[in-house]
Amino acid sequence: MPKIVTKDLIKVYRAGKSEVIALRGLDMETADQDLVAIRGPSGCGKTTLLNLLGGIDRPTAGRIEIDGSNLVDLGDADLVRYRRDRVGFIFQFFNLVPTLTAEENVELPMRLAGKALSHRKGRSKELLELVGLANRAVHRPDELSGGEQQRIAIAVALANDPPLLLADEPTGELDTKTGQEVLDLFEKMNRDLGKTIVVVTHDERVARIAHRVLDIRDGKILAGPPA
Amino acid sequence: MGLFPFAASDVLRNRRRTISAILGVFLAVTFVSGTFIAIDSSARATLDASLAGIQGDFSVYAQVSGGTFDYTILRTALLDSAGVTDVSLFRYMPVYQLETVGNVTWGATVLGIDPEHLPSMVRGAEVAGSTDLPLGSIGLTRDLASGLSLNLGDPVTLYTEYYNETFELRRTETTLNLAVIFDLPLSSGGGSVPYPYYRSFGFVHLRDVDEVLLRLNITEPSFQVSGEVWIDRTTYVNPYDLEGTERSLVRIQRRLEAILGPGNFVSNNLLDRLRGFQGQLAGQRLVYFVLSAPVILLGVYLGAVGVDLSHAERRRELAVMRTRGASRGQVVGFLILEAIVGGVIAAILGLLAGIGLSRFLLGAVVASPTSPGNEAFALTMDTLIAVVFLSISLMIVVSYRSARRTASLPIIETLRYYAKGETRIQYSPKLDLALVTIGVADYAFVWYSRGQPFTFLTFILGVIPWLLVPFVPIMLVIGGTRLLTRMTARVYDWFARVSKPFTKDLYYVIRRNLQRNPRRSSNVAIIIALGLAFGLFTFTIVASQQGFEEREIRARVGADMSVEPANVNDATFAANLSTINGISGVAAVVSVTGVTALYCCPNAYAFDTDAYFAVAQPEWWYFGDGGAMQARAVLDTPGRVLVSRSFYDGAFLEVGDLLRLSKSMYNQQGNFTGTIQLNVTIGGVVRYLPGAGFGYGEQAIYGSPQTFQTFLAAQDSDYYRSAPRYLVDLAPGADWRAVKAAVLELTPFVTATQEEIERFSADPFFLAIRGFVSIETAFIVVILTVGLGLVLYAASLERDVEFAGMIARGASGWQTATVLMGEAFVIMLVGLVIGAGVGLATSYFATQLLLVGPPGVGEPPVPFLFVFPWEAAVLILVGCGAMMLSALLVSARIARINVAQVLKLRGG
Repeated sequence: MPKIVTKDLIKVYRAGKSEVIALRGLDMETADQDLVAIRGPSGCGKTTLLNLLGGIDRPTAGRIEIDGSNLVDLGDADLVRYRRDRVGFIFQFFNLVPTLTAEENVELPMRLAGKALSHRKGRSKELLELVGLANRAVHRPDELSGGEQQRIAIAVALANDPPLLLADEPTGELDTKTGQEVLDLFEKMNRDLGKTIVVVTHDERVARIAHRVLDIRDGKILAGPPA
Repeated sequence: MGLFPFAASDVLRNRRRTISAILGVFLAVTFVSGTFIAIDSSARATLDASLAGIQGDFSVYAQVSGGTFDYTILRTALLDSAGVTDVSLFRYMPVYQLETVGNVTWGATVLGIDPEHLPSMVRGAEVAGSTDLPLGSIGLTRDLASGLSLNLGDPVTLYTEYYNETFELRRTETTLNLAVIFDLPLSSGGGSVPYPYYRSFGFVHLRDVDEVLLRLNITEPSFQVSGEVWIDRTTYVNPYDLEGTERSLVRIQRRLEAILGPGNFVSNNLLDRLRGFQGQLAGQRLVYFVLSAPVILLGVYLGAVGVDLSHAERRRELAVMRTRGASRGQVVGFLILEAIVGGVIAAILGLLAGIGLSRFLLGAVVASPTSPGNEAFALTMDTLIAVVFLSISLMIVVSYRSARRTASLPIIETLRYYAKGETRIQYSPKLDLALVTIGVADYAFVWYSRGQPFTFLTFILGVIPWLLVPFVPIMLVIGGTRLLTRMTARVYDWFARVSKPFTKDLYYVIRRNLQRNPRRSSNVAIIIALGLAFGLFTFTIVASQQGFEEREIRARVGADMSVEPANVNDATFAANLSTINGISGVAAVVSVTGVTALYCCPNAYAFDTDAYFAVAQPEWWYFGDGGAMQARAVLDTPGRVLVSRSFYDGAFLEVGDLLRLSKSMYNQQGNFTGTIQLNVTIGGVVRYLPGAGFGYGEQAIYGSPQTFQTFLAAQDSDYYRSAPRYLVDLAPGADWRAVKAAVLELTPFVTATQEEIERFSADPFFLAIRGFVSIETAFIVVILTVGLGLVLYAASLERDVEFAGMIARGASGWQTATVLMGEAFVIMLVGLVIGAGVGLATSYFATQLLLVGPPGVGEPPVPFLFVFPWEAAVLILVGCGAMMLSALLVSARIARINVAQVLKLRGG
């Protein structure tokens, strides 16, 4: 199970002649099977941190250790494997492939990992049942509600059974009731499946179910009490 | 119009979107403007080509009465006239017979010419000997010299015969030395076929004409002096100012008339040709505009795709406009205004690019042996107006439907942050089914009616459909492609499977993505199919046409060479011909003259079967069932003959019928002496036979010398007999030029098949069309490449988030890029299969149908066989390679996508 450690994490964005320092030497640490909420105002670097933890962006400086491995040292091919096998990403706007059915969206990461057909079929059925949408397997995203799409997205993130889940504002586009259903799923995944989950959020309900809440201001973690 | 500033600034602000929208029209306009600029720039060359062959810019005719005449004074006076650069005077002599020491006589036209200012007839001729023409000398054309078997220095007698007061035939003559021989260019003499009759000219020095006539005891109380006057065309003939040119030429003509005086005549040869030039230029523009139709059509299709993409990008923005109170009509009007602004931009850019393209097209729009140099440049107002009008019109055409569709979309659907994908448009196959049905039916009707006699029914079922034939390929490609790519999603299944080896498990994503936007996929596939179909159709038709012409030339000549002796009485000719180095076989084909049959008027030919077949080597398509073997068997049987198909059908004959032939005999004085009868049996039918009885509707009978023995024996003393024609087979590797030069020593009447083919291939008009078509096809490949790249690029922009999400979930950049590459490959494959299939099928049918012509037209003398040239295969390979390269470059962007930036921008 992963333990996340970041040390002096810096990320600078350059756009022409201007520079934006998104992270200014961020240090954080999470334990195995933690459910961590990261809060902060817009532009504080929350999403940037998540992108770095997910291996979809590289830091300007600093270290990111996931279960002892420094992501900064990984090459492109290793990062692909990391994203495929070790991390599941859940987006605010779902980002499902619009031309594929729910079941096919769940299967996609397994196809990319080269998993056999029988495994894919079984696993996707299992995951759709987990998120309560087995009866919507053949529907495309435009035929699903926002909450259903987000639950499918969670199933997609779990497809290759990654130990770490990263969620960026997962309830941002959802109403209260649907958002609660999603958060219940997160609790379930953390409790029953032992997933380490890091959630970037404005939603206070996430803070209430999280083991730890980290506040980010100006690219740094503020010291604060656990949830 | 209040929205115009907004529309204009929108177009100018978003360059990428504007380029995407106007790209197709820009490419079409570039090609058309390049063509028109090339036509404008080569106007002088076109004019020069149309003026080629005229005998003087002005022709003057002065009547002179009695006494000696000083030609120099007249020439100087004409030369002093403003604008005149050269004058050539000549005089026809009343002498029409020449004779050699061997008493061989020949009819000829004799002129007095000025050797220092030769008339156009002999300018450019190859000259043997000296053109000084001192007194006592004569010059002859090569045909005349060969016909009289004369060499330089030989004596030639001019003579004239007349009846005196007591009606006794008298003769006067004078003998001159042959000092010069002129090899006339083919075009001189006024005919394109170099019959010796037209090329028998003799020349003496103009100043010696009176002396020669005196020796012949000929007096001319008055005679005519003719002249060719040449002017400074660069100064006085401006193809861009025809009105000013006409004024200048008329004034020059008046000055020449004043010099000649009353009663004489000046012909304005330039003005006659110029009056048709404006129409010629307009016709040229029209012809090349029609030839540019494939590019314009492709540009329109590409433009429609590009506009569709640009409107799709802005759906949200336009929906916001409508929430602020804009009506649907105002949104449509706004988008049309943008199209007009885009059209103006496309016109400006197209003109600039067209200037560059015109340098390549200069040689392809002028039917002239020499093309204008790159320094020749002109842009007329006509071209400017035409290009701007075309550009704006095309932009409106490609934008209108998309604008109406976009304006009609429900506001709420387009206000969502993520549009839920292309709105499903109900596809109705009616129009496409109609196109395919009409196209197939048209071919079927034309096929049915070919070769049929002309009746009302065949007019309805043949002639009218025949007029539609050029449009059928377009109908089949558009209708067929849209049906296959829009009516069912299965086509994507089939073709996507082909991409499986390199897309592996992602092929199903490709399949679904293509189904998602069937209209866009279909439009791109249509562009590819149209481009390939046009290119293949054009190349195969041109190659098939060339093959047909070469086949026709060979059939007309009969073998590698065809030779006729100058002297019908030359008994040693055949033997001398056979000994020439490089000749491996000679076959004599004797035309049995004066033969009539009970059924119309066939020509009869006699030849030795073995020699003929060994030399002529007639191809399989000359013969019917049974082939050459059966035909030979018929010819080898005395009393049996072969007949041509046109004679067989026209006289309602059958194999086995008896033909009663008769030949009228004439003595050496040309008096009828009787008729000989001969009965033969029809043994078989042939199309024609090469070198004998070739031509449309030619009626012919072929037999062995044994079969026609009775006629041939009598023919030796017949007044109207003609010399045999000798077909010559060259030895492998023999140089036809060397052999021809050797044969010319024996007779001037030799035709070489290879020379005729080279002359045809070098025909300026044919070369111009071929050059234009090649450049156009290359441009089509550019459109295909750009088109595919444009659509993929726009599709990739639209789906950045989707691709970023795939990468974030574990796909590598190139894995994701293969999705786009796979889509491109499938679309290209669909377009390739349909385009190649339709292109080749329509060109095959065109070769089988077009040349035959509408009902009532007879069978062509040689078949129009389908030829698949190597250029067509190259087009497929290069076209596909270029398109995949374009797809690769676009897909590379996906592979290097900044996932975090894309997802961050989209709020992920």
